[in-house]
Amino acid sequence: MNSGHSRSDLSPFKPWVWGAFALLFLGALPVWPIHGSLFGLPLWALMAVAMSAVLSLFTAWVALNLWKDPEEPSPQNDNHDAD
Amino acid sequence: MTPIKSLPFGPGALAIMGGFIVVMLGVGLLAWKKRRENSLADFYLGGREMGLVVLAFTLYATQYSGNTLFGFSGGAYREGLRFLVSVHFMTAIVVAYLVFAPALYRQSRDRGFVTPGDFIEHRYANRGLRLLVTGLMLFALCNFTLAQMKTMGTAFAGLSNGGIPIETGVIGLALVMLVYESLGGMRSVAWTDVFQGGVLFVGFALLMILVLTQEAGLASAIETLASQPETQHKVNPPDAEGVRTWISFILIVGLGAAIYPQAIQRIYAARSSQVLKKSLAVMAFMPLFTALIAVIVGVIMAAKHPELGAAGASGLTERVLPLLCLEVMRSSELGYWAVAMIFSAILAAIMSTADSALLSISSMIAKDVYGTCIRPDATERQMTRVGKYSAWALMIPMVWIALEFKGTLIQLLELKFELLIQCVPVFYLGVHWKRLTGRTAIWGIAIGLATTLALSWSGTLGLAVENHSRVWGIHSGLIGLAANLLVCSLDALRARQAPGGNG
Repeated sequence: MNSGHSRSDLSPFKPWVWGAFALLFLGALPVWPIHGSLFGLPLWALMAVAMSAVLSLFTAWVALNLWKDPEEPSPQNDNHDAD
Repeated sequence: MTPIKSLPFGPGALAIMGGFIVVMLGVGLLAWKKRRENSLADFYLGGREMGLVVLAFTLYATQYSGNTLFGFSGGAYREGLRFLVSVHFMTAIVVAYLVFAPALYRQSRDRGFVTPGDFIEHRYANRGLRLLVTGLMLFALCNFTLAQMKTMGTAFAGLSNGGIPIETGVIGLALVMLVYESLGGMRSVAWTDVFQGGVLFVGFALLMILVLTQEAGLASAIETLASQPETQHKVNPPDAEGVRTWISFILIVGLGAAIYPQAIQRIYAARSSQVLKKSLAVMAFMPLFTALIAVIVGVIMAAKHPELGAAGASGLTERVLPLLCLEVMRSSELGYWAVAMIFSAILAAIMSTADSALLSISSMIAKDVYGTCIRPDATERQMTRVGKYSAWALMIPMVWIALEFKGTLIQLLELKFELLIQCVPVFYLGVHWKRLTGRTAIWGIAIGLATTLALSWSGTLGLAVENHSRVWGIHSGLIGLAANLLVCSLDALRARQAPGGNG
């Protein structure tokens, strides 16, 4: 690829972010030994929806805070090469 | 008569629909007046000026189609709470965007990409790969548009209460789409998406209110399902194979839907990276307000109308939602107008998804096929004209097939993802991994496709007793993708170890 911008700088996916997403998706899977119900709703389903909500929050946070683009005003951007 | 045709819609609902059409044509005319130049970027990407509201709504309206309302509620009717996987896989699409969108957006700005093929040509310098990926994407998009056209006919027949033949409805709405799209290109499509997305969002909200107020409630429905041996599985968590299918669904839809050409072109069309990231942040929450509502509707209807199960899986996707609407309409005058609004939202969802797909088809034919292979010296004006003509020409066989095809929405959805997902390494790895070459990517796609099709048609080809669309709960397309990724990895490893390799 011939783009002058460093791909690792642009990607919001740092190693710990991959790990966090993996954990959140794992948490959202119905694999946990949770039994019973709350307000008449099965706990496993509530857990899946709750984890999905957390996943949405984390995804939005990653998009807004970890995604850096050279066009945005930032002191670090001075180090990026132009194409 | 199917439930959708028995809905007692009348002139009022048709008036709402008529108003819709007028607004969409008006938006098309406005977009035509706002055009700046006769270029591909202006017509197919709206001049790369999409702001937050327009981009967020167009992403929403494009991602959530008629299938979300009909298909997901039908899926939840069949699977019960196990169809909560739809909330996860719709969220996974946004996560998948974040893997490649930052780098792809930056390159599209630097290089002026218009189609996904432009990225491939720049990144791999391999025309064969560009054509292969474009072919797969065109297949997926035509398939996708067909599914929308088919639902459009059914929904329109319902709205007109049988007064207008389904053929007239499909052809008429297709013409409306073509007119506003030809007038303003991406501007028309995105601006109508703001209107259509808004209606869709209100439709989902109304649906939620209706379900919670008119029906006994989710807890009561779950109690009913749990008390019957034949429906008990709908409230129990999936077994081991079911969990594997969840993982498979999350990966195949998440990875596949993010690389739809119309999705990639919306990344190109964003005014700035700030606008794009804020739009994706908004999209991260949409599964909770759309897919989750469709699942709740399906579960409640499964408890109230278990008899629909006897109709077999093929009929369900089109029956659950109309049946709920029928009950609501009969309950009050307010219910009538609420359902008319919901059906308008369904039509809006279908049209916004179909017009986005059609515009992408048009752009790929114009730039990747005509401008690259047939007439490389064509001007942007000529390519744009060819794209417009091809959209009109393509619509004729599409409408015909849509009216003749008898398959269900979910069948169509699964078929296209199995093949489209083979393009995943080209984009996800391509933006991050220098070692992936065009030649390797072609081999990876070929092996992935061969694996997928061999599994999907194993029975038909005489390789096994029956076809295997899933193995061990995993979609055949995902197994094909694993083979595809293996080829890419091994070839990169070989190149690294070869004399002169840079490892």
